[in-house]
Amino acid sequence: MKRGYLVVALTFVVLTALTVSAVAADTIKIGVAAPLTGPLAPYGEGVRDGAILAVEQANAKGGVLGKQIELVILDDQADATQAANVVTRLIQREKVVGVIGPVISATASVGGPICQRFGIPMITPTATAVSITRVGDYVFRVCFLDDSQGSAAVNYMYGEGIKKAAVLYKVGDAYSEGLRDVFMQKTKELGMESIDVAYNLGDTDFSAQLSRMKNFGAEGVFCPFYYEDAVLVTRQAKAMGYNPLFVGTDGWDAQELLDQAGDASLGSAMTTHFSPTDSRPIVQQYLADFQARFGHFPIVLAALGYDATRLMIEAIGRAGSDDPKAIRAAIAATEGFDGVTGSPISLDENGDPVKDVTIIKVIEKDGELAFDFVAAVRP
Amino acid sequence: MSRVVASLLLCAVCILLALLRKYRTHVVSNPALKYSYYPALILLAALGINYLLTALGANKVYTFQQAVYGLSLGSVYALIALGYTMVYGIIRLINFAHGDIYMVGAYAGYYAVTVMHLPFVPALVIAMVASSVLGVLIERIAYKPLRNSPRITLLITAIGMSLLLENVGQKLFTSTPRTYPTIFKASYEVFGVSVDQSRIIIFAVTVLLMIGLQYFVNYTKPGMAMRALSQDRDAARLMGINVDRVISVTFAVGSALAGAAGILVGIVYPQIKPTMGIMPGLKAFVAAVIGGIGIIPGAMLGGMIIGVSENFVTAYISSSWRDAIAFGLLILILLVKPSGLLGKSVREKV
Repeated sequence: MKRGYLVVALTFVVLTALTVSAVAADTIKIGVAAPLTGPLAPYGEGVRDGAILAVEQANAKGGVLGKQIELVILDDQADATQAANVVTRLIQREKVVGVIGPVISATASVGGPICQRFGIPMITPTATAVSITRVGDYVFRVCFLDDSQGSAAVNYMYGEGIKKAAVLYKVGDAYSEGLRDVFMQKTKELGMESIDVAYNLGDTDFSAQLSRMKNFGAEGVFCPFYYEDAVLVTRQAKAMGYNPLFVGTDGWDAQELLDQAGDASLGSAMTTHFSPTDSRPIVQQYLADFQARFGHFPIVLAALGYDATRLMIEAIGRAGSDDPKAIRAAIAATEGFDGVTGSPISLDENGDPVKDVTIIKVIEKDGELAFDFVAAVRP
Repeated sequence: MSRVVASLLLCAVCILLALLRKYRTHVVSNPALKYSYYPALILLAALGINYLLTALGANKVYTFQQAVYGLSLGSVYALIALGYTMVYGIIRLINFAHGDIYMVGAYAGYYAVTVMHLPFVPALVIAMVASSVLGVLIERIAYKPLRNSPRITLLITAIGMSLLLENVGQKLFTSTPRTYPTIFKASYEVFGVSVDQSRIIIFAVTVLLMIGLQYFVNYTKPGMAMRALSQDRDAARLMGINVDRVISVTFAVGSALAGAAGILVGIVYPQIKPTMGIMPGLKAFVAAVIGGIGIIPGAMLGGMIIGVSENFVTAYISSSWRDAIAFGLLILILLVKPSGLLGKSVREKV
């Protein structure tokens, strides 16, 4: 029994010492909550590396408010319970002034209310569920919402002179059906003729759907689904001699599409968060810096982690104080932020970004298929 | 209006002539009509439909295009349905693992084409042999020991077998979908309807296999033994038929056809995954029931009906309705003619 008390007492002392040292340290702390183990670890590592790069670059320039920035990185394992623990610990024990993350919608929707309750600003780099930023004024994000992809795709088709367009969507899939609605509404607003054609989960035969769109005369086909289906759709369209402009979503942005669809994917466009072939200096500088620091090419999510962290640091500078309340106000007031994932970024009243959507296209380069930056389109 | 009625009547007469048992037995016994009767009826019905479409002012190219797509999809269902129907005919078991044998055939064909770089025909043979071996193994290991158990035991074993194959498949082949390379590229135009080479092949191979199967069942010794077994197992045994061997042969042939369907699906709809057998398996089961379970031409007819109707529903209504209509057909057939389109109504002996 006595030893038990001793352990408790010792722990208490150690904890107090830790807390005191944290407060006394002359740094500004930013927390990162991301999955670093488990199946989603590659995403979490991407976000983490982006954040590390942003912080190191800021520190090299003298930090912010004359202090160095310290990054506290914790693993939430992409698990909601773990995310709640991690975010609470970042706020209560590590005394961070802001949180970057969590990475996926399931964990971000747990982290958001905690940050809101403690009054600590949170920026999720990557979680797309609409409800996440609706919990209050302390929760923000830097990735566009799914809706943006639908209206950007229509704007892009319109800009390409397309008058008749179709959307091929998956029945019973919230993502696909949501984007279908956006597409139908937006084409109507722009005075384009459009039809929606459905397919079901697990379908491998798209003949009837494709011939229906061909018969309608659709010159552009919007495809809000993942690359597995895109492989079948593009190959079957090519086989039947139907060559519309396919515009996919971020789910198409995968090397597997090029490998499996081959020539059939040539010329297809898609909306995405970030393109390494974007020639803006800030993007190319980011790519060079990232590879110099980590020795490998960044995944797309790293760019979002990088932008989220830079936005947080910049807001701390504008706030002129490390008071979370002032930082929150500064983040909310963001205007014309120059991000690698789209520029200029401002945040709307919900804390969601208003930014360009990147359009990339499959091209043939040196005899091989590759993605190439086409345009940045306002949704 | 009168033209619409006339063409509808023509089609209806064709369908009735094709389905009425009285005429069919008469036709089959008449050597002059035996091989020309059904093709002639199909041609006549097609003319009727063509006339109807003209009368309605429909987009004919579009309609016939859907028919082409439907027939190639229907071929796949028909090939799978044959395995269901044959096994059911012999041991009264709905072999739910059959859709997964089709999946294994698709993977065998995939590896033959991509890893061994074989051309289409040897790959087709490999897929058929691999499926057939698997089919016989399943029968020997899982079904044979239960030969005298209640039918429900066998059915539950079949469902378990199906789940086992799907999950072992995910472990073995991983759940990432694989993509067949393009084997047949050419495409032809017939009266404005585009017909891909791969679709011609899927249809032609199916028809050839059907003819081969008809020959096997009707004119060879094992085929005769199968028919004997389906009529009365005990009587067949008393006549000196090796029941176990005939059952194995049935599984081998049925599974080989499913394996062929697997590779044919790969050349037209080039994506395969370990769970690909579930839905086509169910649809093929529906096809077998619609045609009349246990009846071989019925499986082909049912498969084609499902394939074509699915394509028309997707093309003219919406694919949301597609599966509802396929299974709705099943319920309708069970209500109106429980023995299936080509089945004879046998009264249960008491």
